[in-house]
Amino acid sequence: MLVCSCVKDKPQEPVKTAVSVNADSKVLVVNEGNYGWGVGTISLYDPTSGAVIDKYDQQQNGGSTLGNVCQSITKFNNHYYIVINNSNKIVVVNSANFVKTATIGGFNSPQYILPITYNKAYVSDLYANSVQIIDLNTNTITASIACLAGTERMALIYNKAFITNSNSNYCYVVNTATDIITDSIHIGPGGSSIEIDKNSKVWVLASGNSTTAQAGKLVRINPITLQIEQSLSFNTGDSPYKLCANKTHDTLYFLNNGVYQFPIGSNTLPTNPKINQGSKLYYGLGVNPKDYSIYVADAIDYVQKSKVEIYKPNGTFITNFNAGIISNGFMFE
Amino acid sequence: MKHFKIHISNYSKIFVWSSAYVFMFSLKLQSQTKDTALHQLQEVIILQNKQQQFETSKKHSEIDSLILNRYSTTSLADLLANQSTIHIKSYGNGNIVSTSMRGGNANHTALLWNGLNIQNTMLGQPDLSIVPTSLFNNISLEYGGGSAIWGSGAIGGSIHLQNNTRFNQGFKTKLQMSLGSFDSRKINSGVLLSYKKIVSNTNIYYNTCENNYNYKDTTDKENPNKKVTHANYTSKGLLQELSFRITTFQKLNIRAWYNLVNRNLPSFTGALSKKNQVDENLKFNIDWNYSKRNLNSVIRIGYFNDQLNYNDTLANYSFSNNTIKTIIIENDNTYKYKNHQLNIGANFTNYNSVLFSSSINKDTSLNHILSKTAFFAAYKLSLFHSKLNYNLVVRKEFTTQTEIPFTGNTGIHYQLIKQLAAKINANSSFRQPSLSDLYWHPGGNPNLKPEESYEMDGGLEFNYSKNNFSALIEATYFNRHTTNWIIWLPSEKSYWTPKNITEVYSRGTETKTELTYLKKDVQLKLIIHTAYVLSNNQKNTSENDNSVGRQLIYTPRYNGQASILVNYKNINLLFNNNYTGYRFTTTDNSSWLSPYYIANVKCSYNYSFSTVNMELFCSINNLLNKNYVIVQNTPMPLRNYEVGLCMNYHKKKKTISNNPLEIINNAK
Repeated sequence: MLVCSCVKDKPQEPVKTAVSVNADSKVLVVNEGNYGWGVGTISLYDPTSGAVIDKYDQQQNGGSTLGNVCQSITKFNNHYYIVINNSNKIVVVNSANFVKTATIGGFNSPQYILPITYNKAYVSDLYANSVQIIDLNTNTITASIACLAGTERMALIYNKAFITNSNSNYCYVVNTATDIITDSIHIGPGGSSIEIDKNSKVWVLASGNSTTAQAGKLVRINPITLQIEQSLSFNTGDSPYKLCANKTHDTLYFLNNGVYQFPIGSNTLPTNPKINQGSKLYYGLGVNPKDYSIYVADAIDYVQKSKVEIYKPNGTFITNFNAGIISNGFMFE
Repeated sequence: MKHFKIHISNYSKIFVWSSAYVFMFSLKLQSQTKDTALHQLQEVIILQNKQQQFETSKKHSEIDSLILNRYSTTSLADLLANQSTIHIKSYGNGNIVSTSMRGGNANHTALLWNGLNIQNTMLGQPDLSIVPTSLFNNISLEYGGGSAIWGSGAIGGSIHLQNNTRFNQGFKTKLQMSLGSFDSRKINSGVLLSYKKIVSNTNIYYNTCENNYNYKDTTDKENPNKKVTHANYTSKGLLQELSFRITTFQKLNIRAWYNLVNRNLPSFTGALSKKNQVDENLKFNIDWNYSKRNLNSVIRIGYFNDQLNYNDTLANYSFSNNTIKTIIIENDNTYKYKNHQLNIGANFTNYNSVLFSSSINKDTSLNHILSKTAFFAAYKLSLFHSKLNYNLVVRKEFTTQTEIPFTGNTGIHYQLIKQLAAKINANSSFRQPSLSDLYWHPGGNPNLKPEESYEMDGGLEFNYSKNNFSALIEATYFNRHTTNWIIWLPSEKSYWTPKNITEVYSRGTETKTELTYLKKDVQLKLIIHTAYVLSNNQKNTSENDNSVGRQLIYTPRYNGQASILVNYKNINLLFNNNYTGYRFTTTDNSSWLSPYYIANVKCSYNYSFSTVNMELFCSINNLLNKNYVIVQNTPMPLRNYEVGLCMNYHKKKKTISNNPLEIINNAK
C-alpha cells in the first residue's frame, strides 16, 4: 500500500522585512479582506527598496484589526480615514505613525469619505438611503442627506459635492453650505467613480448594467453649469470602473478588462488597453503622482494575497509585489 | 437500499443474515435505547444500506447507539463535529454549517435520508445544523466517492440517516426536556404504537435558544470581551412514520417530516445585524417493499419541498426566497442466487425551483425545472465461504442540462484470517452543478459540466474479541483526483460566475479504533477516529495564482476524536475530545487559523420502575473553556452547560416472538 509522508502541520511564519516608516515615498495598499469572515488590512510598500509590510495597520496598533471589508482610505488633516464597510465604521489613524486615534461608528454600510471643511465630511453608503454628515472634531454622525442607497465615490469642487450612485442613473449634486441635494445629472446606471481634471471639469464613470444591456459611460460635467459636455459610451456588456487621474490630471485611467488610458482631450474612448489583463482579475488601480507609474492590483481568486503590478505610463512592466487579500486601491505618499 | 434487521435474544448469540457480513461489521449492541435493564431481553440490530450490502470493500462507520443517544438534543452538526472526522465548518453556535470530508468541499458530502438524497439542490450542500439527531435510529458515514449508488454529490463521502420501523414493540412514549446555557430550551416527545401489522411513530421537537454567548475577540485588544447578539433561533418539527405489513412479503413505509428553523444571523464584525434566515422543509418518503425468497424489490417515492428565506433589512435590497420541489421515484431490485447478488434499478428525479430575490431596483423571480433519469446495476460475488467478496457497481444518469459521466465502483474485500480483513476499492463519482451554480442571477453558468472524481482506497480491518473484550481497528488510505472542480470567480462583467476550472488532488489516511469491555454491569468503550488529509489545488486559474500545490482552505490536515464511554449500572458517562489542526484561510496558504482542542463531558443517570424509565442527563461542552474559532472571525462559545430529563414509558406486547431470528426486510 502507498504510504504518504506526513506534512508538518504548523505553517511557516513569513520572514518580516524591515521597512522604514518614514520613507520619502511610500504606498499604502487598501486590502478589503473577504466579506463576512476576513480581515481588512493595509499593506505598506516602499517603491525605493521594494520592501512590503503586510498588515501594517496591525503592526502599528498592537495587533488590533481594522475590521471586515476595508473599503477606502482618505488622507485629511494629518489623519487617514479608513472606511470599514461591513464593520459599519470609519477608523481614524494618525498619518505619521498609523496609530488609531478614533473610531466613527453608527453607519449602515459606509464606502467613501469626502472631507468638505476641517469640521465636516460626507460619507457615502451602500445600503443606507442617505449620505451621512460627520463632524470631524467630535467624530460623530451629525446629520444625513437623503439619497437613494448605493452612493459611491464623491468629489468636491466650487462648494458642490458630486456624489455617484451605483443604484440610480444619476450623479447627485449637493450644496455643501446647506447640505441639500440641488441637482441630479443623468449619466446612466452604475455610476461609481469620479475625478476632477486639470480644467476643473468633473468626470464620472458609470459601469452600465450588463443584465439590462445598458452600456457604461464616461461623462464630462461642467461643475458650474452642471451640463454634460461630453458623453462617451462603452460597448454593451463592458463594465468599466475605478476611474483614476494622473498627477497632472490630464490623463484618466480606468479598468475594463485591462487598464485603459484616456487623455482628457480625446473625443473617443480608447479601443485597446494600455495594460492587458490576460487571465488576471484586475481589481484595484492607482497612479503614483510622483512618477506617473501605474499600480494595478490582481485580486487573483479573491482568497489569496493580491499581486500588485507596477507599470510605466507607456504600459511597460516595472515590477510587482504581494499585498493583502483583495487589494482595491492605493494611497501614494 | 435495504436494511436487514436481526433480533436476537442475548449477547452471546449472533445471527446474521448472510455470513458475508460476519467479519465486516461489528454488530451494534443496541442496548434498547431506554428500557434497558441489562438483564432484560437484548436486541442486536444490523441495518444495512445498499452500499454496505454490495460495496463491502468501502469504509463505513456507524455512530454507536449509546453515543447517538447522548446527542439526542443536538443537531447533526454537533454530533458529527465531535464524533467523526468530517470537518464541520460552523459559522458560530447554532449558525449554518458546511462540511469537508476526505478533503472535499461542502458540495462533496451527500446527505441521505433512508437512501434518498436530501441535500439542498439549490445550494448543492446540506446544512447539518438544521437536522436534529433525535429523529433517526441510525446515523452512519460512508467514506469516499459513492455516486455509483447514490448519484450526485457523493465525492468525499456520504452521511446516512435512517429510520427503521420495528413491528411488535407495543406502546412507547417519551418526553425529553432540557435547559442549557444561553437560554437554550429544548423539548422533544415521541409516541410509538407498534403492533404486528401496523406501526405508527410520531416525534415532535421544539428548540429555542437566545444564543447570546460571550466570547473573546482576540483581534480587538481594547475591548476583547464581547457578547454575541442577534443570534437567537428556534427550530421545530414533526416526523410521522407509518408502517404496514401488508402481507408476509410486503411492507409499506410512509414518512412525513416537517422542519422549520428560524435563525437570526449575528455579525461578528462589530456591526449591527438584521440578517435572518428561515429554513422550512417538508419531506415525504414512501417505500413499498416486496421480499420473497431470493428477490427483494423496492419502490421508493420522495417528495421534498425546501424553502430558504434570507432577509437583511439593513441591506435594503437583500431579500431572497428559494423554493425547490423535488420528486424522486426509484425502483430497486435485488436478486440472490447462491453466491451471487444482482441489483438493478432506475431512478427518476425532478427539481422545480423558484428563486425570488428582491432588490432595490426590481424583483426577480426565476423558475427552473431540471429532470434526470438514472439507471444502475450492482453485482456482488462471494467466494471461498464468503471470505472473498467482489463487487461491481455502475450507474449512468441522463439529464438535458449536461452530459453526466458514467460512474462506477469496484472492489474486493478479503478476509485474510479470522481477525484480519483487507479491502481495496476504486470508484468514479460526480457532482452535478447546483441550481444556483447553473441559474443564479446574475452569474449562473448553465454550461457547467459536472465535477468528476476518481478515487482508490484500501485498508486493513482488524477484529478481535475474547471473553469480555473486543477490538476493532481499521486503517484506510485513499487517493482521489477531482477534475472540473467548480469555483466562483469574478467575471469581466461586474458579477461572479462559476467555472469548471480547478483540479484537486486529495489523499490521506484514516484510522478507526474501537475497544470494548463488557461485563455484567460495566461497559467500557474507547473510540478513536483520526484523519490525515492532504488536499491540494492542482491547477492555476491565472498567471499570478499562487495556490497550486497548496492545501485547500478550511480543510484541516490533521483531525481526530477520542471518546471514552463508561456505562456502570445506571450511570453513563461520555468523555469526548476533539482536535482539529491548522486550517488555511487563503488559497496561497499565507494565512491560517490555529488548531483547537475541545473536550466535552456528557453523563446520565437512569432510574426505572416497572414500565417507566427516567433519565437525568447533563453536558458540559468546551470543558476547558477554550476560546476558538472554526471559521475566521466567528467565535465559538466558551464553556457551556445543558441539563435535562427524559421520561419513557413502555408497555410491551404480551406475546413476544419466540423466534430469535426474526428477519424483517425493511425498507431503506
